[in-house]
Amino acid sequence: MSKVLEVNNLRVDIPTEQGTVHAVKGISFSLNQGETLCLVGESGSGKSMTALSIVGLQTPRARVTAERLELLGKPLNSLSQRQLNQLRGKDVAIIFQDPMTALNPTLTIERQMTEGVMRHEGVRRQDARTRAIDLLNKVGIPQATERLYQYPHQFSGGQRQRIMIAMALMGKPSLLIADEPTTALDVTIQAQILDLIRTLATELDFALLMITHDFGVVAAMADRVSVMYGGKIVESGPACEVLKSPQHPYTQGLIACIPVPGRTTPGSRLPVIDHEKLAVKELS
Amino acid sequence: MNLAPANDPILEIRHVSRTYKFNGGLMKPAHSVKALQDVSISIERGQTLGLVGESGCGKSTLASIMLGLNKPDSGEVLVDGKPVLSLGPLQRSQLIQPVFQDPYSSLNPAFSVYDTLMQPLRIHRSEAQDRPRRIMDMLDKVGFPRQLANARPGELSGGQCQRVAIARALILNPPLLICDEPTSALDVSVQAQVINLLLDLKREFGLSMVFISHNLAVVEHLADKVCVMYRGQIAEEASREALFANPQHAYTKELLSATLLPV
Repeated sequence: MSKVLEVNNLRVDIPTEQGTVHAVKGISFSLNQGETLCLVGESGSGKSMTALSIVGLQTPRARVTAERLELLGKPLNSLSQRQLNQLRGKDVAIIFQDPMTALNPTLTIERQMTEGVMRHEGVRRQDARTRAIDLLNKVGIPQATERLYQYPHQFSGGQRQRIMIAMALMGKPSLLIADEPTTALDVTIQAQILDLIRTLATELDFALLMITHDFGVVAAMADRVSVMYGGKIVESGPACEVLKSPQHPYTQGLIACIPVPGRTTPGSRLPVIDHEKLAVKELS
Repeated sequence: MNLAPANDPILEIRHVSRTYKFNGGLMKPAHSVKALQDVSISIERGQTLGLVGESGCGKSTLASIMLGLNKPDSGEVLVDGKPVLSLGPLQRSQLIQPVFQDPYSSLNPAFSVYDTLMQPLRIHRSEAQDRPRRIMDMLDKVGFPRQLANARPGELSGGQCQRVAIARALILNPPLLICDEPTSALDVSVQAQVINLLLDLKREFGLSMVFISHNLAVVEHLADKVCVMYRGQIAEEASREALFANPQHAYTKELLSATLLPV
């Protein structure tokens, strides 16, 4: 299995007026072809910063340093904007949480889907369109040929997320980053979208880096999981092992705080994460 | 606190229907959407009703009708035995209060936490000397640190904002709380804190609650009785135990299987 992404000692520092925020404090992980890694943590744990800094989308004032940050052997942190643009949308694509803000409301789906491949691969509009229709069919948008010319507001939230996925896959990426792709959706739609991503990952054999705060999503998706807390990875391992016997108290807390019919007693207080205790443990 | 007989309903929804009509546009014919069709639900004092369904099934329309913010085409809603539409805003807000999904947009960003809680007391002309104490007591009850009372919503985390929203809803001691997806915008760890808070408040005040959600695991944890809505109608109504032991409607089963669990 070939290595798609290699991250070694990644740091993200953001200078602010109140001093530097160390959003990511030296994390390492790698991802092979066809593999799914879930990066789990609460808001503020640095998981989204990690995802954004891989594709160079962090806020301009953030400083990203890493011993190694390689996509398919190419060092991402020493590339120019121009060189990065040649990778983004082709070798690596990203799906965001809210499909309505990620899509341009004033352009048709057709324009947004074909723009990338026409630029990257120099294919003709007609060919790009055929690929777009193919992918829309694949992600389950009915009447793709007609709907291609509609605008984002004419689709439901779940359909928009399907379109985002289709758009991300237009360039046949080796790595797909999904930053909480289902947090804004209903549970039934969430299950459908996760199912779709899983099926596509198997079929198209791309590596998937999934960002989430929900161990329910991890259980449904991940081969491996890395748990982030305070900018560091506190626990990593195969998903089934981490779920079955989490070692770090933070991981234990994140799993135990989700009510599970049959496991938690209805009406009982749910265990919550004691951040003060954890912070002491992390510092010592 | 509420020692009234348990079978005395705090909220009764009787045969409520609501249709939204859309005028046609230049190219569009006029059409209508039946958001609610003959919905009847009753909630006893101290009971928590879980209202479940996918987006667009009419949950939030029903919530706004319960709150008297939206008029049904037919049917009526009784809060504490009185038709909700016959009550003025002052009376109504003492009986029933909402907590919404997104705590950032439901709080006024220009108001400090203290001002936010002061507003209802001022509008209801409560005893002026008592107000600061009542605000601080309420902040303690929802587990919000007193020293942050002068902070504005933008400086607070999502969980802290939701605590403020709950404190604002409870400061007039209403017997009934309508929670419209209060945890779906929060991280799972913060969701657990808000669930615990609602459980504590329910126990302490004998609060009745309508808890609207699409997460059945959360509903199982909080609710005594569950109504599953599907396309504007009640698809299934059952006690918590019965619903989870033996779901009847196909949509309930689908919802149950779609709930993601960390196992």
